[in-house]
Amino acid sequence: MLLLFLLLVLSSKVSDAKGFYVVFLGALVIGDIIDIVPNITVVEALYYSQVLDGILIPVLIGYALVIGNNKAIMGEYVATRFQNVFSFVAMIVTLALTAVMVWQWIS
Amino acid sequence: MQFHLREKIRSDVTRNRHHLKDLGPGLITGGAGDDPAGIVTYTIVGATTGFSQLWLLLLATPMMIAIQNLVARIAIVTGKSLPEITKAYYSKKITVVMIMTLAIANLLTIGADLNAIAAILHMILGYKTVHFLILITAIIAYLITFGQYKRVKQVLIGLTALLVVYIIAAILAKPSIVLLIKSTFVPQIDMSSAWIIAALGMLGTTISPYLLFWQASEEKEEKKSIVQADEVGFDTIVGMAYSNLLAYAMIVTGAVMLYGTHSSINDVSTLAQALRPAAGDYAFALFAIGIIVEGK
Repeated sequence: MLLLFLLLVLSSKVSDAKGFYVVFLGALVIGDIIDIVPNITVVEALYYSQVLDGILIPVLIGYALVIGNNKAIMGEYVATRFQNVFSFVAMIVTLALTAVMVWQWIS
Repeated sequence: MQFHLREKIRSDVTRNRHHLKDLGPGLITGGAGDDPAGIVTYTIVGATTGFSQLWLLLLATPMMIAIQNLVARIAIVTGKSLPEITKAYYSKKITVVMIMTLAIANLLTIGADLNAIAAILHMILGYKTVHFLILITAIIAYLITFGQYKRVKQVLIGLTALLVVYIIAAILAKPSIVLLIKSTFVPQIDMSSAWIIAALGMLGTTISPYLLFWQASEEKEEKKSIVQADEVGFDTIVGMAYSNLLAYAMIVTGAVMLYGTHSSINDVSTLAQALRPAAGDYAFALFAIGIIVEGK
């Protein structure tokens, strides 16, 4: 197993290896935390990681919309109306759900 | 130095954009996948909210296509990743926020996915979860960072056909067709916190920002793709339709088998029960295969 791992690392460029270590260590640490913390089951970890993804969606869509509609970057290839409309709807829906969730926590 | 880098990225982007003209129309490729987190999330959504979010899944389909196409378009036009673009055209602070957001979303999802595969292997083979975790993480991190991801994914897509068992299970579970149609096309909202959280999880896993991030780097390798003719490839539509059909089936099976049973849904074997109509005593085995196959 370790041999395989070393082979993989050695067979690639050094610059790529840096990204590999970040992903590898990050995911491993999180995987281990889930494994160790007694109050979180794997199923809950999976589920709530997706809930967090849902909460983060508006931020990432916001970036994509701003970049995709920037003429200096995209030139004649700016985002289509379909892309803009449904991305925007997704952003609003997830923002609204997050707002309701936070409001329910507070009250 | 910082200034030069900015200028270099900007000129790269402009050059890349001009090259697009020479390539002719092509297709936007894009994959959709149900990872272990997806399988688990959809089943829990069904188990906690019944059929009441099927309409939201329907609405999430064009959202997913729009967002994936938008991000793919940015990647193809610029030939750069999102953080590179924000660094060159916006501020450093904005880039940091973006990387942090991506990192949290990606690492948590991948970490949880890996843990699920390891946990399943642990149940089947008995060795400690940690042992599998290291091996699987190494392999997957390698595939992701060195761009082999797509090739492996193609092999796994074949295996994804196994997940058709969810569609069979959904049919065998004999859901009420009238209720199914009504729930799919008539929006209903429940303000309970379990419903709201389930909706966020469902959208989170369907529109997965984690997919967005890797897609940007995947698309970069495929210079043949172009956005000029705003087409969505047939294979993309088929892939997304299949993926969301599976999601639909998972919610339906979860709803029929687990909704209202009040059993606490926090362990893998309970979730596997959703497959019982199709697989009987083999439900767990099939669920395990599904999780491992989709671990990508």
